[in-house]
Amino acid sequence: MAGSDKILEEITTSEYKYGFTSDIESDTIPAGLSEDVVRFISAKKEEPEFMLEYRLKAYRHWLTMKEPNWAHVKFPAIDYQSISYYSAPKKQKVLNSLDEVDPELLRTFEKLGISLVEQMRLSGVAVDAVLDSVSVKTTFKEKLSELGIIFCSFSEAVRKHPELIKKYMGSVVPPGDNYFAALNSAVFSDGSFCYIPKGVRCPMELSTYFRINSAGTGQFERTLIVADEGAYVSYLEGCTAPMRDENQLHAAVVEIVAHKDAEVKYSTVQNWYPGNKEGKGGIYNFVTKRGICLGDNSKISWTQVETGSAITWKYPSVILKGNYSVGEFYSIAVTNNMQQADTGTKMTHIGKNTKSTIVSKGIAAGKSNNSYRGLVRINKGASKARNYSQCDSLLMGDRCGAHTFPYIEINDKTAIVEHEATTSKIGEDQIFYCNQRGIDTEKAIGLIVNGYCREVLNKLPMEFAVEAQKLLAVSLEGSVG
Amino acid sequence: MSAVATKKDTSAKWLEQFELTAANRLGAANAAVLEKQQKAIAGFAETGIPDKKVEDYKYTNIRLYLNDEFALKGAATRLRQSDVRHLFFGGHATIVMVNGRFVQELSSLKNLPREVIVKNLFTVLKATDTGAGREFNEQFDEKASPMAMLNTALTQDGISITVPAGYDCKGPLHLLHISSGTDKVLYNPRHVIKVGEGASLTLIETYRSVELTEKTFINSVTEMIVEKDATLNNYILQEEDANVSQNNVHQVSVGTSGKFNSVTVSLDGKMVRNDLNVNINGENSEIHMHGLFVVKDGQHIDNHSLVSHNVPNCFSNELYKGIIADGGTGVFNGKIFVKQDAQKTNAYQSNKNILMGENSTMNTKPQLEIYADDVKCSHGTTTGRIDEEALFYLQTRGLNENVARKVLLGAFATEISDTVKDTAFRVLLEERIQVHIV
Repeated sequence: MAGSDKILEEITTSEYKYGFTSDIESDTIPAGLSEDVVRFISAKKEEPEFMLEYRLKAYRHWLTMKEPNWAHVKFPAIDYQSISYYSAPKKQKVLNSLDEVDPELLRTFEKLGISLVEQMRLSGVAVDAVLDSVSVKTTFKEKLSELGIIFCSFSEAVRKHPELIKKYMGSVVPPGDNYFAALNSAVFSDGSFCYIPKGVRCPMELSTYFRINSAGTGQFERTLIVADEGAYVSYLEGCTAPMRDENQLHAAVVEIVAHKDAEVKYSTVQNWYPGNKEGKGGIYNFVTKRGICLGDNSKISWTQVETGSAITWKYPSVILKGNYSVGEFYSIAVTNNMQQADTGTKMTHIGKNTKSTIVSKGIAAGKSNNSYRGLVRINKGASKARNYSQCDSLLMGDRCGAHTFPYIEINDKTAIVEHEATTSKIGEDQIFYCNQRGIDTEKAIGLIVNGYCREVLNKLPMEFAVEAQKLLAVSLEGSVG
Repeated sequence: MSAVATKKDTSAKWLEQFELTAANRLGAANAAVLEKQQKAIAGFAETGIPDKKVEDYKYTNIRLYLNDEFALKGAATRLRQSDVRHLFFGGHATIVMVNGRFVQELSSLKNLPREVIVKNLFTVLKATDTGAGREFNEQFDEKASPMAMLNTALTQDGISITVPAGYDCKGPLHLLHISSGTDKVLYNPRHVIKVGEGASLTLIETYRSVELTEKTFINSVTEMIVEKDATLNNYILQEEDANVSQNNVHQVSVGTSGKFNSVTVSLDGKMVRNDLNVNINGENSEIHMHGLFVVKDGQHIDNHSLVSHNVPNCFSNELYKGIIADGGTGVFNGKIFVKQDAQKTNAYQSNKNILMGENSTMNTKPQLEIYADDVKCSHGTTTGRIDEEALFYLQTRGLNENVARKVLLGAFATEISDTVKDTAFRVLLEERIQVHIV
C-alpha cells in the first residue's frame, strides 16, 4: 500500500509544464461586455455587416438567457464583466513568411513543442496557431490551396469567403443554442476555417493550436469545418495556457458539416492549465462542439484526450441526419488534484440505418471529479439505428469521484441500443502480477493505464498519439512510466 | 418569470387544502408529526407538482395526470367482502386497504401471526409520545421528491406493520391496495413497515381497482425499516385500471447484515411512477431489486431507483426489464450512489427493454455516482426488438407468430418472476403476465 501512497503523492505534486507566459505586447481592450464591445470586436476585425448583425443578435439573445447549472461541477459564479473580450498580439501588417512573425511568439510555440518552422519542414502538418484571440500563422496554405482546400483563420474566411461563412456558420450550433455558444457567437475573436471541396482527400493533417496568453482574458474562438461531397479531412486541435491564479474562461464553438460520403475526423488534445493542486486558477473550458452528418454515408468522428482545465464542460456531438451516416466518439478524460470534468457526447439519430459508437474512459485521481454525461436519442423513423456505448472509469485514490449520467431516448422499435459502464480501481492483483514479473509498481500502473486507454489512443493520428501518451504521463506523473 | 407563475398555480390548491384538512391530517395525532407536515408543505410549495423541468421528472410530467380538479376526499365506498374476495390468493393473511385506509371488515387476518402488529398509522402515532413521532419521515432528507413531500404534508393515514425483533414470520402477508370510488380524488396514503432485529417478513403488495368510475391519483409513500440482521422480501404487483395514476415511493433503510429483496411488477394503470430508494446504513448488507414493466397503448410506466451505499462492504444488484407495446412509454432511471467511506462496495445494475411497436418509446438513464475508489460498480442497458431469428425458429417448429412471440416474451419476463420465493404469488404473477403480454 505504501508504494501506491507514494505514487499518489507524486501525482498530486506534478507540475504543469506549459505554465510559462510569453512577454508579447498585446492589444487588449478593457474588461467588460456590452453592445459596444461587440461592435468594437467586429470593427477591429473589419467584418462585413452580416457578421456584426449575427453577433448582435447572439448578444441580445444571450442577455435573455440564464447560465446553466445542471452539470456535475462546482465553481464560483463567473463575472462576465470582468473579462476582457479581445486580446491580440500587436501586429500591423499581414505576414507572409515566418521570418516576419514576432520572434518571442515563435519561441512561445517552440516551448509548446509546435515550432512552426519545424512543423513546416518535417511533419507535414498544416498548423493554424491561435494565440489569445487571434490566429497568428497558418502554415502550408499555398500547398493546400492548390487542391482547392481553404484553411485559414476565421476572420480571413469572413473577409474572403463570406458566402461560405454565411451558409454554414450557425447551421450546426445556432447562435442561441446554449448560454456559452451564444456568448461565443457574440464575441468570438478568431479561430480556424476549413473547407474541403468535392472529392478531395486532404493530403495532410490539419491542425490548430490554441493558447491563452494574456491575463484576465477569455478565449472565444470558433472553428468551422466543411467537408463537401466525398471529401476527407483529419483535423487536430491542441490547447495550452499559462499558469495564473485567476480562472480564465474558454468558451469555444466548433461546427462540422459533412456532406454526402464525406468524412471528418476531429482529434483534440486538451491541456489547458488545470490550476494548482489546491484548485486555484486554471481554465474553465466550456465548449460547444457539434457536427452534422448531412448527407448519406457521411461520417464524423470525435477523439479527445482531456487532461487539462480546472473545469471541463463539453459534449462533442453528432447529428446523424443522412442515411447510413456514422458518428463516433472516443474520449479519455483524466482529472487530477481539484479538477472537475463533465464531458460526454450526444448522438442524435435521424436518418435510417445510422450508427454511433461511444467509448469513454475516465481516470480520476487526487480530489477530482470526473463525470460522463451522454445522450443517445433515436428519433421516430430512424429505423435500424444502432448505438453502442461504453463508459469505463478508473479511480486512483479515495478522495476522487467518478460518475456516469447516460440519457437514452428511444422512439423507434427497430433500434438496437446498448450501453455499459463500469467503475473500479486498478486491481491489486494486477499490480502484484506485474511486480512478480519484475515491473515496479510505478511502471505497472503506467502499463495498466495505457492498456486501459489503448482503445481510444489507437484512434488518434500518429503524431497526436505520441503527444497524448506523453500528456497522460505528465498528468499522472509518478504513476505512469 | 412565467415558470414561477405556473409553479404557484400547481401548489396553491394543495396549500389551501393543507389548511382545510388540519383536523384529519396525521399531524392531529402527534405534535412531532405536525411539525414535519408543516415543513413538508413549505418544501413542496417551492416546486409544486413536478413537470419536465424537474430533472427527476424529465421523462414523466406529473402535471399531465394530476391537476386542481382532484379533491382530497370522495364519497364513501361500500365494498363488501364478496367484491374483493377474488383478489385474495394462497390463503395468505390479507390486509385490505381501500383508498389508503385499512378496512378490517374486508381483511382476512386469521392467518396473521399474533406477533405481527398491524394497526392504523394514525392510531399508532396517537398512542406514542412525540419522541416516537420523530421517527416519522426521518428517512427523508431535504432532497425528498416534491411528491414525497406532498404526501408527507397531506397524509391522513395508512398502515403500520411491525415485526418484533427475532420473529421469523413464515407465511407472507398480503397487503391489498384497492382503489374504488366515483369521484376524482388524490389519495396520500402513508405506510410504515418495520422489521425488527433478526426478524424476517415477506410482504406482498398488490394494487387493484374495484368499482372505480373516476380518475384517481394515488400518491403513496411507504417507509420500510430493515433492522440489523433482518430480512424483508417486498413483492409488488401493480394492476390498476386505466383511471388510476400512481406515484409510489418506497423509502427503505437497511441495517447491518440486513437483507432486502424487492420485486416490482407493473402491468397496468394509466401512469405508474415508482420511486424505490434504498439507503444502506449497515455493513455487510445485501440488496436485490428486480422489476418488470409491461406498457400498453396510452400508458406510461416509470421506474426510478436509488441505491445509496453509505457504508462499506455491501452488495447491491438490480435488474429491471421492460416490454413496451405500440403507443406505450417506458422509463427507467437507476442511480447507484457510493459515498466516500463505502469502500469494498459491489453494485450492479442492468436494464433491458423490448420495443414492440412503431410508437413505442423507452427513455432510460442509468447513473453511477461514485466517491470511493475500492469498489466494483457497473451498469448496463440494452434496448431492442424481439430477435427475429428466434421468432423464425419457433415458427419453423409449428408455432404461429403470435404464440411464438408470446413464448419469447414470457421467457424474457421469467427472469424476474423466478426471483419470487413465494410459490402462490409466483404462480399468480406468471398468470397475470401472460394476460398482459399479448
